Amino acid sequence: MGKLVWVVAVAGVALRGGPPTDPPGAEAVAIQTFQFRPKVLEIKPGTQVTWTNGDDIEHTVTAGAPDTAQQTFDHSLGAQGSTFRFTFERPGRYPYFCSRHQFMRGEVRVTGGER
Amino acid sequence: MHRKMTILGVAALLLVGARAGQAQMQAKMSGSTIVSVSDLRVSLNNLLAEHVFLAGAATGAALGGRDGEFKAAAGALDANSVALSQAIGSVYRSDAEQAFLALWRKHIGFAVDYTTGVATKDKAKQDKAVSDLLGYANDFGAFLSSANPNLPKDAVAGLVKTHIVTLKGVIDAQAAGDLPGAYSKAREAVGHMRMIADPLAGAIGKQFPKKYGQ
Repeated sequence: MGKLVWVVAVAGVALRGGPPTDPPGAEAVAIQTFQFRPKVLEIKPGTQVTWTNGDDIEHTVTAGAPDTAQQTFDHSLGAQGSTFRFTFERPGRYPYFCSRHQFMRGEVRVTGGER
Repeated sequence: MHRKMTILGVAALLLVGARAGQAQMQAKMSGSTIVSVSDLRVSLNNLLAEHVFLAGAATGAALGGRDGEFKAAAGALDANSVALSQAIGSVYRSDAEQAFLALWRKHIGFAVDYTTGVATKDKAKQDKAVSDLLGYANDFGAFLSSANPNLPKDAVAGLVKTHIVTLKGVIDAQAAGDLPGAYSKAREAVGHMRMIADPLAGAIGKQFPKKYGQ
């Protein structure tokens, strides 16, 4: 029985291709005191970004700028602790802002090859 | 006109004196010297009282059609806003300073909207401005609460709403040509700012006891 358990364990490791790896590319932006932190986030294509609202007030994560809002994403984070996730597939610069507090600006810069 | 100029002249002298003292306090707050909570309290009280005074000067000039005076008062009001944001920045990071300044300027814009609505007798514009100001109170409460957990959002919002109401009283009295009433309301509005400055200073001292000698 002991040898069987050992064989199963080794087989399991082999099938998984080694020890567990980190989750697929993921980055985070904290919304705190009416700021996006970090203000500029640099990532690779295919990375998922999670915004978390740390303020007790509604904010939005809206693509573009106040005068040139884009359709790429526009999400309201109403409650403190609420989150929004978006995966950036293509290289480029993605400015965004809060439509309720338009001085709040941030940018995601997607550069390089895939993760 | 001469009587008004005399009143303004005295007020300007008081303002210069207050700002001179404030400049010294600002230098102390922005440097490496540790300031006490009492220093904080004095500084914030001066800045917020100055805010009310300058806002009243600007709205009075606007309603009286005195463009040159309005521009001067509005410029001084913005300088006060910058000084306030620098006081915030001396406690928190510079990005919080910038966020505060943008948020603070926003409420001044709403006050200008209200004044314009009063001047043009546009009730809808007045009502929208008041609604915006009340919404702003929640924003400001959330901002300070986020920066300092010792400041409950709703409590701060309530204090800001009172500030809005008292300043609105000044503007309404100015629009009605009731100068004694306007100055009486201004004293009330200035006095109320202590209700914001004192707890703000206390909360900052509680948040950073080593920095502020607690």
